[in-house]
Amino acid sequence: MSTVREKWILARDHSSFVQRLYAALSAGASKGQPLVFENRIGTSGALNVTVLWQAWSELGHQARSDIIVEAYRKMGVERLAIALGLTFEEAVSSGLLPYSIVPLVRESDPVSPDSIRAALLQEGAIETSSGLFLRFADSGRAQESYRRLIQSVPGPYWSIVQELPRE
Amino acid sequence: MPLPLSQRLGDDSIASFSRAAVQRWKDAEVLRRAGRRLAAIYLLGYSTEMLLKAAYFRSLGFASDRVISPSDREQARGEYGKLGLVQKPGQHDLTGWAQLLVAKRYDLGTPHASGVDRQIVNQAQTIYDHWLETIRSHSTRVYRQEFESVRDAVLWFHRNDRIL
Repeated sequence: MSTVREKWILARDHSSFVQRLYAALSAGASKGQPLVFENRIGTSGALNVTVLWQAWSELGHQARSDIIVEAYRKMGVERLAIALGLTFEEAVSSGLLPYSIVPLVRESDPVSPDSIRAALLQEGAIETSSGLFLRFADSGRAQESYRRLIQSVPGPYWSIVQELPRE
Repeated sequence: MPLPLSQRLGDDSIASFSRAAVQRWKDAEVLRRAGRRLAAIYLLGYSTEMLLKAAYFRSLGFASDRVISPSDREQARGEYGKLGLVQKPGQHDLTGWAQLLVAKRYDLGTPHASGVDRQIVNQAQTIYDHWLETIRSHSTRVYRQEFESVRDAVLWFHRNDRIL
C-alpha cells in the first residue's frame, strides 16, 4: 500500500531512479551506491537481485522492486525472479552485511578524524541516520578494504567486526 | 492425566503449519482489537513464516501430513548458494524463506507467475522490516501505520496462500 507521500515521490522521481540505477549497472561499480548483488538461480537463467541504496528510503519495497526491474529491462535482462531493494540499515537489520570495518581512534592518537572519515568514504562508507558505516556481505571484501585502509591511514586504527547471524 | 503440552504438539507438516498460520492470524486479531499491537505483530510474523514454509515444502511435493524434520529445514536453508541468495537464511528469516520459495520454484522449472514471484519477496520484506523474533522481550510502542503495513502484508499471504 503506497502512502500519499510515496506516490508523490514516485511520480516525481521514478524515471530518475531507473536512470541512475541503469547507469550504475552499466558501470559495474562494486562499491558505493547503489550496491548491487546479482546471482543466478540454479540453472534456470533467472536472476536474484538485491540492490542497496539509501536514496530510496521513502519508497516501499514494491516501488523499489519496480525500479530494479525497469533498470534491468534497459540492460536487456527480462528474467528477474527476485528484485529486492533495501536501504543499508534494512540490509544490516536483515543480516545481509555482517562484516563491518570500525575505526578505533582515541583523542590522543596522532591522526585526524577528518582523515579517518575521508578514508572510510573513499572505501564506499555510507552516511546513515546512525552515522558513517562501512559494511560488507563477505569477509574477503572486508579484508581487501581493510588492507587499503591500513595503507591509506597506517596505524592501529582499524578493526573488522563480524556480527553473528540472526537465528 | 494428559501428557504435557510439549509432548502433545506432534510433528511439523504442511498441514500443521497451515493450521497454525490461520490460528496465529486469529490470535493476532484478538490482540489487535485489545490494542496489543506489539504482541499482534509478534504472532503475525510467525503466521507468515508458517505459510512460507508450508508453501516451500509443498513445492517439493511433500504430502500434507508428511513430517517436516529439522534436517529437512536445514537442507532447504543449505541450498541458499545454489538458489542465488546472498546469505544462508536464519530459522525465522521471512525474506530468506520467501527467496528460497521463489528461487526453488524456478529451479524446479515451475516458477510462480511473473510479478507474483517478486511480490512474495517484497511482501515478506515489508513484514521483516518490523518483525524480529526478539520482539517478545520488548515493550516498544507500535505506531498504527507500521502495524497496518505489516497486517496488510500478512493478509496478502493469507489471501494468496493457494498461489504461493
